[in-house]
Amino acid sequence: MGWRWEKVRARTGLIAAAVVIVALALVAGFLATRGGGGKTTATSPPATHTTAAGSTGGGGAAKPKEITLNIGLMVDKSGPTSGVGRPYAEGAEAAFKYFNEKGVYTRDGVRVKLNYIERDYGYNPTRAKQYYNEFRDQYHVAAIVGWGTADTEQLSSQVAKDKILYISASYSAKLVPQPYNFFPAPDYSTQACAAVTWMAQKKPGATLVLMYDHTVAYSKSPIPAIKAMAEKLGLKVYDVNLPLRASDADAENAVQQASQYKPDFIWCGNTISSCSRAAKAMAKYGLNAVMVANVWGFDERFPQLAGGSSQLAGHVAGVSPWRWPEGMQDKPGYREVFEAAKMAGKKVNLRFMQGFMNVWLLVKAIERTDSKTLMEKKGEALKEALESSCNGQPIKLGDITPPMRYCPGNHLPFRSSYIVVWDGKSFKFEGPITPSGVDCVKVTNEAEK
Amino acid sequence: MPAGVFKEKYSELMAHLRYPVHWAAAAAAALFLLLLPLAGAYPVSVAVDAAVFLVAAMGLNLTTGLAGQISLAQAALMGVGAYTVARTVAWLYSAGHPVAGLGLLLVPVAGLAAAAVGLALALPSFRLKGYYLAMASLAAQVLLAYLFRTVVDPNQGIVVPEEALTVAGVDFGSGPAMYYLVVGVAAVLALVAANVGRSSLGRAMKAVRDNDVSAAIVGIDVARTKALAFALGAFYAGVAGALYTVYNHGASWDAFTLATSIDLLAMVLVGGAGRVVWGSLLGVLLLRSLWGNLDAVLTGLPAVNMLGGVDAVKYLVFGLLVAYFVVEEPEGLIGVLRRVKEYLRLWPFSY
Repeated sequence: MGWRWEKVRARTGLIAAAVVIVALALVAGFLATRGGGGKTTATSPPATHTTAAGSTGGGGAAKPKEITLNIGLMVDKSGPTSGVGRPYAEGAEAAFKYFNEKGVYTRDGVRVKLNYIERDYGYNPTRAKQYYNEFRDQYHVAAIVGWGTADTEQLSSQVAKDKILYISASYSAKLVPQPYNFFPAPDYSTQACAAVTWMAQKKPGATLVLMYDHTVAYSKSPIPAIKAMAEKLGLKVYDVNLPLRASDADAENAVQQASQYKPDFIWCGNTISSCSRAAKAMAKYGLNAVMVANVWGFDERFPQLAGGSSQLAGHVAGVSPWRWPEGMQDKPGYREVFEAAKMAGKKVNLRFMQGFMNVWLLVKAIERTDSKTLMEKKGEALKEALESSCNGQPIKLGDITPPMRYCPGNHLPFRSSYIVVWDGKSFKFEGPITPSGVDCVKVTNEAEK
Repeated sequence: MPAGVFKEKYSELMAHLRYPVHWAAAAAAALFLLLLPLAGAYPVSVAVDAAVFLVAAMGLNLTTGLAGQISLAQAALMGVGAYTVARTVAWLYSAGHPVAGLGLLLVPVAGLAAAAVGLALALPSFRLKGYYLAMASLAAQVLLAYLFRTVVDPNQGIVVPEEALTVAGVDFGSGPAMYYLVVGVAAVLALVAANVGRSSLGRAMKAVRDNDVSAAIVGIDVARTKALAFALGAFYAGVAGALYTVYNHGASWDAFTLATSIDLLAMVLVGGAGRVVWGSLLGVLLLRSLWGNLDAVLTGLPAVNMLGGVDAVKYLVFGLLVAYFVVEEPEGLIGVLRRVKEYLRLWPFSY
């Protein structure tokens, strides 16, 4: 019955051939979709334009009518810092929409469209690395607007190798010497040193308790600098652990531990969700200390989140390198923020403004480069554009920031910060204070390498 | 011409590749894997990620699917392997010692370290079964995760310098070299896992899974089998963690949390518990590799923002998938594929 065996053979051969064809088709599919992709989330312009989204365009004399750049946007909308991450993300998204509508132009007048790809990494450095691979290999981004300290620090040498501009919401001092990392503010350590200077001015020889999460890179970032500055100014310093995702019980526990040191000042190194709970606990236990929170720990919502007690008046404060947007809508810089918020139908607050500023810094970089360099060198062109502010024209985001200069090897744009104090009815801005006597950036970079 | 298939030697019968179609499929798969780096860097990174989790899932399939010992600590064991490499290299590097190639040399050591911890996890299994053993492994996972977060890695991540991953001038931490290394190791470990299932150890594990009292009566050393099951699964997890460190140039505790353990268990259940190589592969492909594409699909959809964001919707989809497979398809995707194969075998006839 040989014919049956031949039929089995034929069928087997067919299946084998099908498997091979499917495998080859998959490979072909990968090859076809490589370098493409990228969701267009901004309003798409009319179809008649030339785009140069990927590798070097024609290096001829003809200027392209429009360039499309892929930009990665990494945010935390679901993790432990999402309390400040969500409004920041709203600001960044609104900024992309605003700048695409108004038009971003290179130095030689070529319009640039920003196509952003957003990923929520939930404050997990491992997921951040995965999304970074996606941004770099799938979408070939020229720049990334990032978020957290741990992942930005861990990616800093990789982005330098891959030549991708990285603007982060993390103002860690360890990023200041990195060649491709930028942010529009003084670093955490310089800001914290300004806060310590303010404390020493208010009460010389005071006792300072540091309340922060001992397992989070962002919270630990300014601590060595604070201790160095406090030692220089004669303040006594103690440490207490406050988890980043603190419950009311955790916060009360931390405050009780702190009260045994009889503090005059408490530094809060976490985001607003835990710092406000700690302030609530302070009011509950009648702890007569002044809490000074870092820039991500204090904003317009703080008095309400901290329970609204009248005991908070004069007892809670925060560091901020810029004046808050409330009441400033007529000033240049703030005007753009309010316009973008209106366009996106969102409310303006400090975090929204911070998200807007990070995208604006990217836009400033594009405006300082010409189309040919941008298409050839992409991320490297943007980096050089920002570093041209060192010896050339400084960068200003309207009136929000003082003139900022990014120098190669030292991306510290300016060094002054305000201390914002809640007096029970409104926020009072004291300063600006520029710390001196201790190189806070150096101390942070040399501590526990 | 005789009807049917006649094998003349026992080795022919026991071979992994028995029929022409097996040979064709193996050749196609080998060709595909060899040529994948030509497709670009992103498919390569997806493949490496899948290979790493395949190794971990195979380990869990050995412990839970083959031997029936429910383990919720697989991610923590991955962490043990990962930190063995990362911490050692980082400590030696900061002390100024040369670390060339050390990251790769430590991969088998990481597996053994994780196996040692796995043996410790086997101790509760001598007394506990089912849900209670799951609770004990859950406790181990939480404890190890706490240790990672506070003692081993208090900075949310340890970076491994590139020199530790470079051997003879080739950087095994990126590009095609990393791909071939990781996929090669995964292929070898898959072969080992497939053979475990067919060996006397595998049969002992299945006996213990089905009824450990009867297995003891028949003469199987139940304690030894359970210990080997945990140790073997943990070894796989340790190697997976170490390879993950190579791939990520470092280790961070957020990759080894309870959520990841549950992910791995879901991969095993959805793919097919007990089918160590193919079940794990299908589970990993569905719940890990295709998972990344969900981000691209869901981001920007207005309905998603109403439901609470991309993360929330992904959890929803994940939960629904796992619930469906546990209720309707206890044999997992492998069972589904087996039914497809049976259908095609008789097609176009129905019986």
